[in-house]
Amino acid sequence: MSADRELGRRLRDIAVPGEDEAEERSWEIVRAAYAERAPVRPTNTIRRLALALAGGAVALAIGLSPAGARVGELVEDMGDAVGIGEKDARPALRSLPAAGELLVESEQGPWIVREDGSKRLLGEYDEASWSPRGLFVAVTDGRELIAVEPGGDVRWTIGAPATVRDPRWGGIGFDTRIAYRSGDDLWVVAGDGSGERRLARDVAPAPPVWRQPPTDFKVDPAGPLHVLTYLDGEGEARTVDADTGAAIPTTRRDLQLLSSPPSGEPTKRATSPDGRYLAAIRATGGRDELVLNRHRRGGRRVLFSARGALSGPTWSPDGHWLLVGWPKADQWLFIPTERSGKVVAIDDISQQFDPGDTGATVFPRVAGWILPER
Amino acid sequence: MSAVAAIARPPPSMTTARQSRVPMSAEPASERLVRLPRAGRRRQRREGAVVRDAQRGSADALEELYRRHWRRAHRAAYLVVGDAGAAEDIAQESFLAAIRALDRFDRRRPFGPWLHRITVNRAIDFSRARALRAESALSAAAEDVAPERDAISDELVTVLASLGPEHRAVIVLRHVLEYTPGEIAEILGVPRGTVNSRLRRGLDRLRPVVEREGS
Repeated sequence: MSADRELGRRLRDIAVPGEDEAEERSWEIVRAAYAERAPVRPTNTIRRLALALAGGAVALAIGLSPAGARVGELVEDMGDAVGIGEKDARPALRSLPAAGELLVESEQGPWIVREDGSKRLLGEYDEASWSPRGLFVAVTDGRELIAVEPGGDVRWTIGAPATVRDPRWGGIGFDTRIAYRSGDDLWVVAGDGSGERRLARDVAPAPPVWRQPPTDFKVDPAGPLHVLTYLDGEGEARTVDADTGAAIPTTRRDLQLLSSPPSGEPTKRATSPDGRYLAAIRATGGRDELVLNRHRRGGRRVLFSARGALSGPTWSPDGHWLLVGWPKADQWLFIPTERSGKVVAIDDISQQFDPGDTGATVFPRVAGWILPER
Repeated sequence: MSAVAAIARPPPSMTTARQSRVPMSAEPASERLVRLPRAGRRRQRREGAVVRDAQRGSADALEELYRRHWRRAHRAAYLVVGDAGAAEDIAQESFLAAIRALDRFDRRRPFGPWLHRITVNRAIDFSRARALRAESALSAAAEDVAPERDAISDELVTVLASLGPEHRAVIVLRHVLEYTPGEIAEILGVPRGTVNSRLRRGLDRLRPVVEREGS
C-alpha cells in the first residue's frame, strides 16, 4: 500500500473524542431546527393562479428584440416573475413536432420521450448520453458508467476512480466510444464497455465533444476515426485521436462544438445535423436570444428572444426545429428554423419530469434528440 | 491566421502503451453484448430523492441525510481544528446552515460536497480566529477526553496540528473526504496550483510518520 493511501486510511481511522455522544447531541438540535422550518409549498398551482389573474390584464410583447425575431410573450410579474412565458402554451407534452426521441435529464433521472409524447424513466441515474444510433444510452451513477437499453435494461457497467461526469457517446456505426470525466481526468471506453483508459489528466470541468463524422459518411480510412476535443486544466482546447492519444489540430468547428468554449464565445450552442448551421444562445441585457448562424456563407438570424435565460439549444434530427428551455417560465419551446411556422410552447416542464413532486424542482436538461435506428 | 487553430502542445499523457489503433469493438450490437450483474447498486436510496423528501418536510429523510454525512463532516472539522468540542459545534452549525438553505439546494448535485464546503470553510475560519486569540489547538485538544489511540495516530494528529489551517483543510479534503485536487480548489475557492502546493507541503510533513511505521 502506498504511503499516501496508508496516510488516508490512518487519518480516517483516527478516533474522535466523544464522537457518538456528539452525534446524538447534534441530531437533537438539528431535528428541532428542522421541525421549526416550513417546507416548500407547491409552486405550479400558484403560478397558474397568478397567470389566470394577471393574464387578462397585462399581456405585453417586448419591443426591444431585433427585427424578425419571435419575442417571448410576457404576462407581467406579480412580484417574482411568476408570469413569464409564451402565451397559449400547451399544458402537457403530447407529441414532438418532428420524428425522433428525446433524452432528458431530470430530478428523478433520465427520461426518454417518444414522438407521441409518452415518456419512460430510465432509472435513478445522474447524467445520460445517446449512443450515436440511438440504440443505447450511457448513464452515470456515482462512480459508475452504465450502458442501458432505452427500455431500461442494463447492458454493462464499469467502475471509475471518482464520480463519473459528462458522458459523451460518439463514433460511427457500430464503432463507437464513450468519453467521460472521472475526478480531474478524461477517460474513454469502447461502446461495448471494453478497453477503458485514461486519455488525459487534469482536464477542465467541462464536457468533451466528439468531432462529428462527415455527413456523407465517407470516412478517410487513414485518418483518425474517433476525434475528441476537450478543455485542459488551463482552459485551452485540445484535440486528440481517442484511440492513440495523438494530438490533432483543433479546428474552428471543434471549438464551436464545445459547450464550454475557451473564451468569449456563446456557451450554449449546437451544430445542425447537416453541419450547415450553428444555433447559439447569447445574452443581451437581461434577455437571451436564440441565434442561427450559417457556417460557410455567413449570416445570422435571431429566431427567438426571451426575458431571462434560455437553455439548450437542441436540434431535431431533421434539422427543422430547435428545442430550448426557458426555466424562468418553466417552459420548453420548439422553435421552427424556417421563417414560417409557429413556436410550440409546453408549460409546467419541471413538474412533468418530476411527477409527484410539489416543491421547487430542478429544470430538466435535454441531453439529445435522436432518430433511433431500431 | 487561418480558420484552423493549430494546437502546438504535446499530446496529453496516456496511461497505456497501446499506440496503434486497436479496434475497440463496436457500439453494442445486442447479440454481442454480455450482461453484467449490477452488484452492489441501489444499496442506498438515491440521495436526490432523500433530499427532495427532506425539502418536503420528511423528518425521516432528514435523519437519513444526517446519519449519512454527519460523522465525516465532524471528523473533517476535528482534524482541521484539533478540538472535539469545536468540531461538534462546527459540524452542527454546518448542518443547521444546510437546513436553512435546503429549499434552494439543487438536488441533482451531491449533498456531501455542499456540506463539506460549509464545514471545512467554517473550520478554517474558526482556526484562524483562534490563532488571532493566541489559543493553541493542541491545548484545546488536551481538554478533550483522550480516546485510545496508537502512537502513529497520536503523532499524525500532532503533526497535522503543526500545519496551518489551510494546509490541514487540503489534507483532510484530499485524504479523509477523498476529493480530487480540482474539487478541492472549487470547495475552497483557491487555484488548483495552490491546492497542489499545499498538499505537497502537508504530505512532506505527514508522510514520514506513516513511512516510519512501515519500515
